[in-house]
Amino acid sequence: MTTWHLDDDALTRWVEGTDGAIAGASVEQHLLTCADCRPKVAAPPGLDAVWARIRDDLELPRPTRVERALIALGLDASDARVVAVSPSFRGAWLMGLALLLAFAAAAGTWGTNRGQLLFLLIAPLVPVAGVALGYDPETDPALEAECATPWSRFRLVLLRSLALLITGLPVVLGVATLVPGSISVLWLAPAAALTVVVLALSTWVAPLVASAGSAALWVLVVSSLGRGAVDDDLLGVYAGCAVAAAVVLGLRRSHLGELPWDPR
Amino acid sequence: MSAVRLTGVGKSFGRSPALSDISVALGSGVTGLLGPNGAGKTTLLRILATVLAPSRGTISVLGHDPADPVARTAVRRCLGYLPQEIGFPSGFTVFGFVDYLAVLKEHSASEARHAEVRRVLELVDLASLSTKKIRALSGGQRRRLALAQALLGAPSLLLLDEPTTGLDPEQRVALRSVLAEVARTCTVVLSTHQTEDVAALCERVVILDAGRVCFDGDVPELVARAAGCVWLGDAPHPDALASWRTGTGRYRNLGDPAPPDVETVAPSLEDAYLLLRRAQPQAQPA
Repeated sequence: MTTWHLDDDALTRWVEGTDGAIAGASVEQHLLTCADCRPKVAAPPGLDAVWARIRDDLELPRPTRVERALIALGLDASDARVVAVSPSFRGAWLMGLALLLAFAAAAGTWGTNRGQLLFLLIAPLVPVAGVALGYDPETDPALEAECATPWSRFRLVLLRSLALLITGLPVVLGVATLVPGSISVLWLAPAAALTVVVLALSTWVAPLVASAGSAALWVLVVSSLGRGAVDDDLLGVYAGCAVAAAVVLGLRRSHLGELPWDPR
Repeated sequence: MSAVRLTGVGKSFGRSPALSDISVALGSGVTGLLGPNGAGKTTLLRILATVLAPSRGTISVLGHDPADPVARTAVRRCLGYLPQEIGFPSGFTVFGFVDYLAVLKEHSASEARHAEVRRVLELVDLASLSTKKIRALSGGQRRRLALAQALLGAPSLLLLDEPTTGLDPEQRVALRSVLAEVARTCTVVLSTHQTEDVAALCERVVILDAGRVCFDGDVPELVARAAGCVWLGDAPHPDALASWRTGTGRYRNLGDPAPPDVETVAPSLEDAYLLLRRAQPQAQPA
């Protein structure tokens, strides 16, 4: 006849599987012979916590790679979730972006003057398209439900734009180093201006419409001025546009929380 | 005090008017919004949900004016909204989607948020599917999932646009019992084409036609308007405003007034709605 009994701590460790193989085997052996302890196994202490952990393991969404990267960059877990849902982080978009940039870089590296112009034409539009995709109604299927929540849409748009730039810009910059000449750096000025202009225009029209309009304008500028589109004189104009657009965005930020299209 | 008060509210999209001069006050309980396609029900719900600004008029939702950004956020904190069409971001599980919306509804403490997500999934009978990918759900299950996010946080105002679309009869009855329970503590506005839903759930009904309110009152009051205007016959009656063959093989006729030589029957809400619609002058958009 056994002379000892399992206490709650020993039973909890056994239920949680934290008591090690030898102690666990000892508990199991004891349960086989002790009629007093066996009833405790029917409802052992800590079982609810174990079930809760199992349920959490099964139910809770695991952070995606993008979420983990954003958390590593200092974003809080909730913000990282909201940002990572952005369509801009989907594989298809990232793959398309990489292919497009590779094509532009190849044209810029091995091509002639025309190849570099092609890079200048495409590179600034990449962040513009990414930012617009990040919160356009056409690409965000749950937009209407999201708009009716208290989470600031302005904050959402800025966070998604920032996250896209932080995660995507190194790729674009890496590719740009392959392009000879100053264009590999100067394209950043119109890219920044166009991005802020798109954000500001999105307080009136849908982001994809805003980005399409801005892209058309940029194509017009490059096709008429060529490399002159990034001359020193125009860099100041881009900076001025970016500042003016930022002011407009700040003033009209509350309009980002409204549906920007005719819903009927 | 009314949870929702609209005064002279209008909404136009470009030159096309969708709502015109809407003035209603909605208190606690369930109010049904009925009307044909294009009557402006969804536009009205979007305005109440603060996702669309009215072109004219004033609105008070839960004591706040949504025109003011700070007040709008306050409204959204107390709001549950089920849009008519809701998509789901790709790759989400059932639990993940509701959890994502809970994050947007400022449920920041993760343990409490997960408990709340489980609570609403239980309410719509989706707890057993919580780990399933949304793309694997049926249409009815997706609709219940969309409803689950609207129920997060026990809202004071619940706006539901076509909540029973795609649900089978059992699910519809289950949903009605959930809504009846929820309505004990909040104001529910329900837009629907289904007069059965209104009859089963709503104390009050607002009927919209071409962007204008053409009836606002109690459900029994609307039904009473059709008393003596519904009769059965063996053939469509030539004087009837509407007439259709029922499952018994007899024809249900609606007319105002009913001819003297017929035996009238008790009207349903659907009869009353149809009579009201037929009695309206041919509606032009507002």
